[in-house]
Amino acid sequence: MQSIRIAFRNVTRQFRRTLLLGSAVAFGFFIFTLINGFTGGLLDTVEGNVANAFGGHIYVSGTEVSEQGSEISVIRDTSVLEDALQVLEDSVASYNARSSANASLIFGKKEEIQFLVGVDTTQEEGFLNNLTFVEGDVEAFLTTETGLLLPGNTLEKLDLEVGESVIVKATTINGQLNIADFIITGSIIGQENFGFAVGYARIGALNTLLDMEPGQYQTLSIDLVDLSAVETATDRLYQELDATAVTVPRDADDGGPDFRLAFGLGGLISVDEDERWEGTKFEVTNVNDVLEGLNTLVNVMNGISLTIFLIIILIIMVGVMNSYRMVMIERTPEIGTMRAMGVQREGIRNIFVWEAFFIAFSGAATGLVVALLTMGGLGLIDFGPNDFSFFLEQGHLRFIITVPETLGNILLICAMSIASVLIPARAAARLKPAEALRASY
Amino acid sequence: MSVRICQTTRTLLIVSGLLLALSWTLAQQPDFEEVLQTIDARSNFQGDLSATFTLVSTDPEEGNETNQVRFFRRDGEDKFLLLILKPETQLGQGYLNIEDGLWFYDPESRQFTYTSLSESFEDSDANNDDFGASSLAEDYDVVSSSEGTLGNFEVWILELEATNDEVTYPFQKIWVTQKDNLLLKSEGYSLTQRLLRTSFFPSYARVGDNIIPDRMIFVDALVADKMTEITITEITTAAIPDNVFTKAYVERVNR
Repeated sequence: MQSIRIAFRNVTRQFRRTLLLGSAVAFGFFIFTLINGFTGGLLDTVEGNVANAFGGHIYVSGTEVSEQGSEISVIRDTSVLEDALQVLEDSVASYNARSSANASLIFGKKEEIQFLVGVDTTQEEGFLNNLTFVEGDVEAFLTTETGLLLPGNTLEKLDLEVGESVIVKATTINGQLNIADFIITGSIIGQENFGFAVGYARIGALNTLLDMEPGQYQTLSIDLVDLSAVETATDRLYQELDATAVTVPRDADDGGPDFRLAFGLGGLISVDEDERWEGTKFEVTNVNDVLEGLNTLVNVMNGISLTIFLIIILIIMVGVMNSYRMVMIERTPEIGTMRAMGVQREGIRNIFVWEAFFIAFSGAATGLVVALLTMGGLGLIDFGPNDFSFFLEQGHLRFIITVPETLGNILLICAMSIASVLIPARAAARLKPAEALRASY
Repeated sequence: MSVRICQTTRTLLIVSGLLLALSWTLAQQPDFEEVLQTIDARSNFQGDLSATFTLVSTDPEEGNETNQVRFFRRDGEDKFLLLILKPETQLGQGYLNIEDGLWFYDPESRQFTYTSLSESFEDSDANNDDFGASSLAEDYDVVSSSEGTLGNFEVWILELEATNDEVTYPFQKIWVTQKDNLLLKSEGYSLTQRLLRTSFFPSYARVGDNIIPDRMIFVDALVADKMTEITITEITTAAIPDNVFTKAYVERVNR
């Protein structure tokens, strides 16, 4: 206990040295915590945005070969999928059947490209209630067969108002041009913040535009009760489907899921005669597959931040070790006096160790507080809808740090600092009292 | 009794006259499937075709824009390549239609992506499939016909319905000269039978045995005052090397 008291006194007595060493530790911890918080928040935000935009965590899309030999996106016989879904009964929060189109909206002399998602209002009422309306409401959308909910900025660009009619031009699933009139039943916000300016139509009306029958859809999104079970659930569903239908292998190395056809992007692909299939070919993917590239990026960023952290720790260790070598020389007479007064070797060593601990701990704590303040400050900034909106939560940066991870990092930096001071501490402990008392510097 | 015989004779004469008139009219009408085949045969080449296309697009919101494109086509293999020459910012971009579909190449990302034949070319009123071989006879049935005039020309007005569901326009109406079966005008309709685009072919050029339009005007029926005019120059039928219709060539040509 006395060693701790003396160590604390020494730390406060040599304020400038403590400040410099502590600042170095604080800076390293600040950088590491900030980057880790950013990458953690980034993954979580994007995961949430993807789940929201795609209507769930597991996605099943289906394609078939047309009479002309082209691959087209449609699930006509839904019974196969519905049967397979029985295996996920307990873990599913909701199913969302969707069709989508990359459509042109035409009003007067203005034309805008808009990604439209057809939602089944009987299944997705909860989702619709979560939308933020600037004008109009869910009720109008639910009662208008050709109702359309559009992002506010799209309406502004087209100079459109709620209640007006707009021409929607899109290609059918077979690639034919088609148009239909839709009624604007609402102006929504919030979806721009996901990076996708998504508009919503009722699936029946969109199916007619895409030349699909009622009840058919292009993708089925499955919202899970527990996101941590996503991989297991995906594998179970895939195995169940694979037993009864043609499927795209889960481990197919094709650079992640391809929603191009289902999203009405690009053109039809001609399928070689020997590769054609009967019925619907299903592809089962999940939110992790979608974020495969981002996961890699986050891992790289975390790796870089860890390397920076380790380099900073190394520099700090060298600094602490050199400082305490100097300290040992400066304090040799003092150590001699303490030893002469009966302080044991362990006591001298412990004073050095505790000093290193105090400096490391206070530095890490300061770094943590500054990092938390910075995260809080950055999190308050509203970046609004922009090109990076998909990485933002409602226009704000989000940081996530976990208590165990942060405590582990503090422990690590303290342990490393203590390790670096052990050599001078041992040297100080081994000083002979008589020689130490005689020493003068 | 004699009155009834007279009436019967008169009815027979009228019916006979009408039948004669109808058969004479039918005899005057060409086989419209053959007309479509003639249009296809005239514009499709046995060998290769190269040309330079200049597209001037007029958009009430975006203003005017000019694109220049080098064009290569091999109808026998249903292939074509469009290499963008102007504007400079898009130099090196290309559209390659080969066996498995239409590819768009972006030299910035150095990646090929699938695109659709029914999509508009560079936001103009021309569709990507306007650059391919003509296949009216294969893709459409003539469902009705009438006579009319277009400017100074006597024309057949034919209403077409697609025979398959992968053509850009499920319904078309075309104006073809009676004298020499030249396509002067066409209207493209959506699946819901609403007019999407009107095309005019006011000028033709003879290239060997073929006759192809060297000026085309596409007028958007949905966006008022939006149109695109294409002028075709430097037309040649010299053989094109096989490697031109490959992704490797598109990547290399403007590196």
